Amino acid sequence: MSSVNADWKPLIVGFCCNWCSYAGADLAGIGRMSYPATIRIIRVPCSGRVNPHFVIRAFQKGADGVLVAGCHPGDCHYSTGNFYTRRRYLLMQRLLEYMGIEPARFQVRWISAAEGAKFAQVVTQMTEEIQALGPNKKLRGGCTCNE
Amino acid sequence: MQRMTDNMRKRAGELMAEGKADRFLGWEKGSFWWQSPPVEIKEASEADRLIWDLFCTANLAKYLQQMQSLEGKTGVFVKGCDARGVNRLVRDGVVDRDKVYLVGVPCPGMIDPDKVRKLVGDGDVTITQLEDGLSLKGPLGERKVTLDEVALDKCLLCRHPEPVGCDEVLEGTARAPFTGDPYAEVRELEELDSDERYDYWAEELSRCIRCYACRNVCPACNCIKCVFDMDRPNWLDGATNLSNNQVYQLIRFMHVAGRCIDCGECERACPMGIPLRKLAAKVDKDVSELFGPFEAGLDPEEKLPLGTFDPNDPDSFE
Ligand code: FES
Repeated sequence: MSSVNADWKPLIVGFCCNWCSYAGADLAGIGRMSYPATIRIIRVPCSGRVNPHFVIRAFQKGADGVLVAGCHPGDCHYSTGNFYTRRRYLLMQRLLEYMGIEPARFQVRWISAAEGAKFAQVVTQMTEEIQALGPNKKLRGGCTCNE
Repeated sequence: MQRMTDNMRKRAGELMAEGKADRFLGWEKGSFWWQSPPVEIKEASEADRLIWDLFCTANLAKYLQQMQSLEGKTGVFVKGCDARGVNRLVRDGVVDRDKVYLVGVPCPGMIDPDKVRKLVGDGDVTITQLEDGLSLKGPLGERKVTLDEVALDKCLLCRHPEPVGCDEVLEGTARAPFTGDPYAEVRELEELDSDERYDYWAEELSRCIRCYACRNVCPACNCIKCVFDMDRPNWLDGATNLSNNQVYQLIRFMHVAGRCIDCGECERACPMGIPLRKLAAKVDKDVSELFGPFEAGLDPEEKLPLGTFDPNDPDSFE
């Protein structure tokens, strides 16, 4: 993409559940693993807390990618939260695709508290994929008058 | 049609006299040939306002939501889609099944006024039922057609024209249920690449004026306070622009996912002609593909696909 300046970096919003994925991100930090500084983490109590509205809103407000990360299915701190997450986002992933959003821009990953390396790898990979797509223009906009 | 109208008037009168219903919801003839809007019958003596013709399209289920606060029982005539709408509201805990009396009307399918206008023009139009079809008379002349030639698209695709779960069903013949592929249009769109699909929807949704008619008419959109009406928190601005319109429709269809009964009222109510059923059908199709075959609204005690889970659900998330 010629219009994109060479040092453009994607902006990824990551919703990480408090009990696994957030701790996983923390571990990546403690372990001094390096990954692109493209992700802004929003800590949520459980991946089940992530309302589809949050994801769509993130795109609207300028995210180039959105990651929802939670405990592995079966390991949710609240036992079953992420089973619901899984159903919800399997569906929404397809709906977003149907609306024309590139699949790489919205991803869901299961990252446990012990998987610091996986967290780093997921962010790296997502960044590369989105870097290739360029800035997200779809869904962007809306009124910002009351902010 | 006339027989059904007579029958409806008679049954509504009787049921109200017997005390089985304190009021009745049905359709009456409107001011124009293409309208048969909903009517509430408050006294048995008013029952002859009721009518049954090929324009009784409006889904009456949604009105029950407002009627819940009234004393006594509400009787309501239901086509196939209305009956599923009632099931939706009962399942969502919005309507108390004991407070409604359902009289089923087997549905032959309803007419799309636009299709009639194309054939015979608008204005002074008369439609007469023949043995084997309809005769349309209008400013552009006279035409003989079959009902399917002028029926609403949603009726052509209707899988349940026969009302389910009624207290009684009036005698009549419903159209044959559609047995083909209900998702043909969705598949066509799925064939396109991301950008083409985006452009398609951007063009359609840029017309949206956010009148919320689709939400207001939808039996699955039954929240007492809708997020789109809130300003604190401000989930979405009221401004009509492409981005806001896209967000609105995405959220709405995620919200009714697995609960949409496919009555097609959103698309019919849309004054801008946005093909909303293509979004509804997409979600419907995916729910069945991902979580097992499912049709919403057939059972007032159904398990909602997004309100439950199976540990063995497909998992492409790693
Ligand atoms: S607590 Fe991590 S997904 Fe529920």
